[in-house]
Amino acid sequence: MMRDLIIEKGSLRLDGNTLSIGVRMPWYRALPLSSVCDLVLDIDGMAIDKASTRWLVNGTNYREDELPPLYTEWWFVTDTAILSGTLTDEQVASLDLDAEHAIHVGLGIYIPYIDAGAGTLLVHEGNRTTMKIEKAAA
Amino acid sequence: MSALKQGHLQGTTLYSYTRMFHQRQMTMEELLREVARRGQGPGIEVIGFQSIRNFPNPGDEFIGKFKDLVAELGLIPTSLAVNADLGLRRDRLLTHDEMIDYMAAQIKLASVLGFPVARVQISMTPDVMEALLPTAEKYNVKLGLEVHSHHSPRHEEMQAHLERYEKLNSGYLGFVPDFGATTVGMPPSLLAKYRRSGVPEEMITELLDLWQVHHAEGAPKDGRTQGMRMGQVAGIAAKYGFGETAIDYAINHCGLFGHADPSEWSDILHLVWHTHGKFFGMQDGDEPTTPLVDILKCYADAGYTGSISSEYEGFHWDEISNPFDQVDGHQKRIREIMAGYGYEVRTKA
Repeated sequence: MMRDLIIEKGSLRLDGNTLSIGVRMPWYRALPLSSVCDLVLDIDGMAIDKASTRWLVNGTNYREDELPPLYTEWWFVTDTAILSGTLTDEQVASLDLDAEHAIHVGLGIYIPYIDAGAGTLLVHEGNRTTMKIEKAAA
Repeated sequence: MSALKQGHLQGTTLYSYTRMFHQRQMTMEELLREVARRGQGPGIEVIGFQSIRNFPNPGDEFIGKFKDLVAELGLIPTSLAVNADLGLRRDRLLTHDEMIDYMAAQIKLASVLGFPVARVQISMTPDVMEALLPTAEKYNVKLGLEVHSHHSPRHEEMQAHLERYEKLNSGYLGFVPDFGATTVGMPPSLLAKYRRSGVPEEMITELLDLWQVHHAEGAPKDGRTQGMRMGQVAGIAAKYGFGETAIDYAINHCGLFGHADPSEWSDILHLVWHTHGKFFGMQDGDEPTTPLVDILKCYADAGYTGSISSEYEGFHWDEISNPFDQVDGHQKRIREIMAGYGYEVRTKA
């Protein structure tokens, strides 16, 4: 739902080897953090290191595997989550900091009130766009 | 010419304006002020988990501000849409007792905020509904189980609820019909979006043909049929190279545009206090997907005097239309039809 809104404009950043981007919810109501899974962030076809994936929401930067038990913490509809992870030195070196980059963001969200027959409905959403890496503040 | 009889209460739901809220273009207060300014009330419905941070425990400051604002604007709270999050946890479903507690907190807030109805969902069993009856009575909030596509009044799960509610005859357990359960096609605005997105005509034709096959078969009466139909839609999307977004096509196709006959609403209207006037996009002064003339005939015949929220859902795919204009058009059409049936829709508090 509303996949056109998933990638927040002007939110792509590179801090050292850590790539990050703002993610908006592809749903209409607050979801528990236990609903969020299968995080994907690619730049020019290069994926962030899966084990380094972090999800920053409500002031805490969670590892992806910390999310499933968090069913009393909520991602509110109007809040931006920051998805981040590390690239290798070689991958960072390959990025032209003045160029547009192909970005792919993906995430799964369990919809807690919809039974899909074989369990709670899991919706995989994502979007692709091109954008520049924002310059770090001086 | 005889005078018109008093009809249902006109209203809207903030869900109609989801994109504006989600994109941080308008706050909840700004949405309510625009609803009042346009005369889209007086009935106002809110989804708790959408509009209210820290729901269902938003704090006294929010509660006071909301009640003051509604009073200032002359709006009438109709329904607080609450969520039955049975699948809240990843490791297991909530137990019966956990569901009772989870729902009771939301029902209590409905009462505090002045909503006479709490919209609940099909993930509640008849046993959970019956167990919540003392809570509903204590807080004087009626519980309305939403009848949303792919379900319909004659779906076996809804029949089980109907049987229980009629047996209990409490005045607190009933239904919230959603007009999306009784549609006559896929919305033109969705097909336009598919075309803008590069979906080939052959795929659109296959989707439309499949929708007609499902329509001829009727609303699915069990989950297995629904799952099979979603798989068929996803298969078409995958065949044309849209596998990555196949779930969207399946949810739209099978989850939003229901196949039941509008006359089914007559089965349950004696247990209805609030309604979702779901619609997907006005076109030439009418709503091409939800057959309002047929649906509202049931309401007129039943002498319905509850509330109807115009619920615009075209925002899922339509990033162009102004949802306030959409609601204006929908409410105007409903007033026309109801006048034809001898009813004046109530538009004043």
